[in-house]
Parts: sequence; C-alpha cells; structure tokens
Amino acid sequence: MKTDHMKVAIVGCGYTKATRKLEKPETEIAIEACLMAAQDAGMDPSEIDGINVQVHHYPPPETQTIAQGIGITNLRWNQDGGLGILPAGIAAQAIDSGECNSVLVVKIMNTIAPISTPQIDPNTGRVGDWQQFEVPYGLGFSMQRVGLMARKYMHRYNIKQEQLAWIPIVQREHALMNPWAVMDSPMTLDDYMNSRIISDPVRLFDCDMPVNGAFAFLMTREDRANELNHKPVYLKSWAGSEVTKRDQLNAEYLDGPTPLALEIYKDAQLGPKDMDLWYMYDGFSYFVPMWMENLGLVPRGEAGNYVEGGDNIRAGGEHPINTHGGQLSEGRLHGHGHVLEAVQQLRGNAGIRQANTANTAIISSVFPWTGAAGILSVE
Amino acid sequence: MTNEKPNVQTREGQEQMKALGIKPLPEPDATTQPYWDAAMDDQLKIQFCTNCNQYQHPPLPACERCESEKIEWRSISGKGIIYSFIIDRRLMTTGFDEPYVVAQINPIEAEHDDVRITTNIKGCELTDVYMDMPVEVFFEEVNGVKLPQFKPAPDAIIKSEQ
Repeated sequence: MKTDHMKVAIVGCGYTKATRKLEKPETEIAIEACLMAAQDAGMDPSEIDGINVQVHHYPPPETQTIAQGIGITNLRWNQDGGLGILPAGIAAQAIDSGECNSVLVVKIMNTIAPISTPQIDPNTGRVGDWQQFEVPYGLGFSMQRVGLMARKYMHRYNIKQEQLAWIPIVQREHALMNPWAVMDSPMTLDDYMNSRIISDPVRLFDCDMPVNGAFAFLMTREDRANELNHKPVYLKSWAGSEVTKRDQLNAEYLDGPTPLALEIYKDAQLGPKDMDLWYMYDGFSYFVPMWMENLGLVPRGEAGNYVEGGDNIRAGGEHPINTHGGQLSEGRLHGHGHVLEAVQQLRGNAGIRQANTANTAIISSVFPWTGAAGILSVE
Repeated sequence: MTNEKPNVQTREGQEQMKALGIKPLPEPDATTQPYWDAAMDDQLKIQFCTNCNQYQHPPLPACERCESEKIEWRSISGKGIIYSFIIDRRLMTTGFDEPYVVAQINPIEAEHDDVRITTNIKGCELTDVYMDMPVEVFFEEVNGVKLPQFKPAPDAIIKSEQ
C-alpha cells in the first residue's frame, strides 16, 4: 500500500529516557515525547490535528488528556493502537485522504504487565479457549513459543546458534553507541553462548529488554514537510500481513519472499537490493533472520551465513541491522525504536552510528508471519 | 491482599498462582468437549473436514480452510513425530516446577495437513528428545482429568541408553 495522492513524511522525533521502572505517569511522559517531536520538527503543537497512541495494557490510553497536554486545539483524527511501522501507515492514509494534516504517533511503554500470559482462572485453575490445548502442558509464554519456531527454523535450514548469535552481539555493539539504550556492556560470543537458557534454544540474550518510557514521531504532508527543520523521510510503502493464524509457520516453506514483501516492493517500485538499512523487529533475536528471509533480503535459509561474524550487519557494513541496538539492547519499544532510528539515519543524524549509505530503510514490525513492514526513503 | 485472587495479567499474579501450586487444566467448551471426552476413554480424536478431506487441530466450529461445517471427529493412532520442541528451564508456568519438554507432534495420519498437537515428552531424559523423533500417545490422569501425553515410540533412538 502507498499513499495515493501525496507523499507523507516523518518530520519529528521525540524520546523520553527509557527506564527500568516507571518514574512518571504515562500521560506525562507521552506529552513530553510528543512535545519533543513537535519541537524537533519545528511545528507548533497547535497545528497538529491527528494522534495515534499505543499502550499494550488495559485500560486504554488517556488520549484526550495527552492531546490537551500537548496543546492540540483541533483534533480531527484519532485512532489508537498498532505497533511500529503499521500505525505510521495508517496515519499516512489519514493524511493522504485529507482527514487531517499532521499526526503524532506515540508509544507508551509500561513494564508492569507482561506482554502475554496464560489466561488461567485463578479460582478454578482452568484454561479455556485455544490455550486449553497448551497451558496444561506448560506452554503459556511468547518466550517459549518463539523457541518452538526457532528450533524448527534452524533445523530446517541447518543454521547454528553460533551463527545467529552475531545478531544480538552486533546489536549490543550498536547500543553502546546509542545514548538512549539501556544496555551498556559489551557482549562476546562466549557471553552469548553462556547466557542463561530460558526455553532451549531461547537464551536470556535472545530476549528483549523491558523498559518504561514514551517515544513519538510526527508525520505530515510533503509540502509542509519541506518547510520544517529536517530533511523529510518519506513512507514509500507499507503493508500488513494477511496471515492471521496464531502460530503460523506455513510460510517457512516458501522459497522466496512472502506476499507482504512483494506488495511493499511493488508499491515502492524498489527491490530488496535497494534497501540500505534493515530494521528487523527483534522482540526475540530469532525474528531477525526470519524477517530477513521473509522480506527477500537474503535467500531462504541464508540468514545464518550472512550474519555470521557480524561484518555485513554492523553500522559500517554492507547492510546494517538495528543500528540503535534494537529491542534486544536499546529496549522493548514494540517497533517504535526501529522507526525513530531509521529516520535519524536517513536524515544523516545518527552520529557515530551513522551508516555509510542511508537513503532507504526497510522496517518490519512484530511477528514474522503476521506482522507489518514498510519502506522509508529520502526520495 | 491475602483474600485477593492473583491478577493473571501481571507477572506478580503468575508468580502468586505458582506459589499456590495451581496446576492448569482445560476448560472445555461445546467445540472442544469431544477431544477431552475421548481422552477420558484413552482415545485420541481430532477433527476431520469431510468436505476438503483434511484434519485440523485445535478444534473449531468449522473448517479453517474451506469453512464447511461438515466436520467429524476421528480416532487417530496416537503415533506421530516431533515437529519441534523446547526444553523449558525458566519455569514461569504455574504447576511446572522442574525443567520439562514442550513438543509439537505431527500425527502420522495428518502428515500433510499441518496438524500440531502440543504435549510434553515423558519416559526419557530431556536431552534424549530430538527433531522428527517418533512418539506415541498415552493418557495421564491429573485431578480427575485425562491429558493426552506422548512418549518415545518403541523404535525411537534413546541416546542416554546407548
């Protein structure tokens, strides 16, 4: 999918400090991040007329309070929810269709609630719905389910953990260059292979870091974007997956890229080789090689060979991956961090993390089979 | 605080359930009841769509492929192979206090139908389990409920016995 009538750009980025404990109320940090994004762009908050707020817990976010706190006076569009590149696409559609001119997309992270838990009735000990076939056997958490996917993937393509280990290792190198990252000590291959086993083959260093904080980006129309502070970063194309089966692994049998990938390349009129920077969702490290192959960035089964040693995927390498450290080392932002870092790189603002060639970035959000992907470019 | 039930949405709530020793068991509904009824009779039964001739699991009100409601329940042999597995050492789930295997089994009858039955693997060491290992079903009674479980089939290679 692409916007039909005009180009839409990301023009402002805002961050609060990512912390291990929540230090301020959610609405306060959301407002802080949004104001910073507006200021970064050089747009007065009163001009902004659209907002998307995401939280992963119930109750839903206090969007009206946040909007008022930012100084939005005429809220014409509000749709909450979605993760990473997906709400960027939905916001772009709203701008393109004339429902609004500018949208703040803000993620609030709060570590109190884990991401998904077994829904056991505490009164009866019983589990209903599809979980009744899993939780009685001790399968109830994402970190276990990804282990099932990861072992099958590595077995199918004869990939070793020692190869895929270079993803968390290199991402940790990147985090050490990122002032926003929570992880600040280096990781060697020995460190990785000695890290605690969670659900074999998943280790501690395969899991992302829970953090608290708020992170925002501002999007607007091309004509307005050109008047603001930074080089516009355009959302060229994006798509959500049509696959909905909860634990879908069927796509692993595809030889080439998934239909999702073909759609975004077609809409952007670009190919995998044009993607300079790869922002692959890394809620678990194993998603990264799966996404790389799903998006046709490397041939099926070749991700292990490509990342081994780290040279190809470092910030100075052929195709840097997650130059901010990703969720593994910057912190779990549900894909928001990937978008923000891609924007900074494409602006040429990534400082010591700056990649050599940064005109186009591909971004994926959440699970490799059911997630979304999009392409950002300076053109 | 002592009278409040654990909030299952939080990590603390999950740990409280674990401390209470709650062993999770299925809560069947109209769609899933036949699976658990069969298990009480030491039978493994899964759904079969007679319209498109494919097995499916977990059970649904209609065929997930062709949407037909011409679903019947069929007994299967309980023989299968391991599609994938994990060894859980983190022990976050209530009722599981020692490292254990969770596996997904492909029943031999449903070789091409992408059916995966979740189970533990019992009757061997955790490190004996391997990909594509042949297994067979047995039925384990827990608090008056029978759970299908799997163990190595007679022809499976047990590493620790070699």
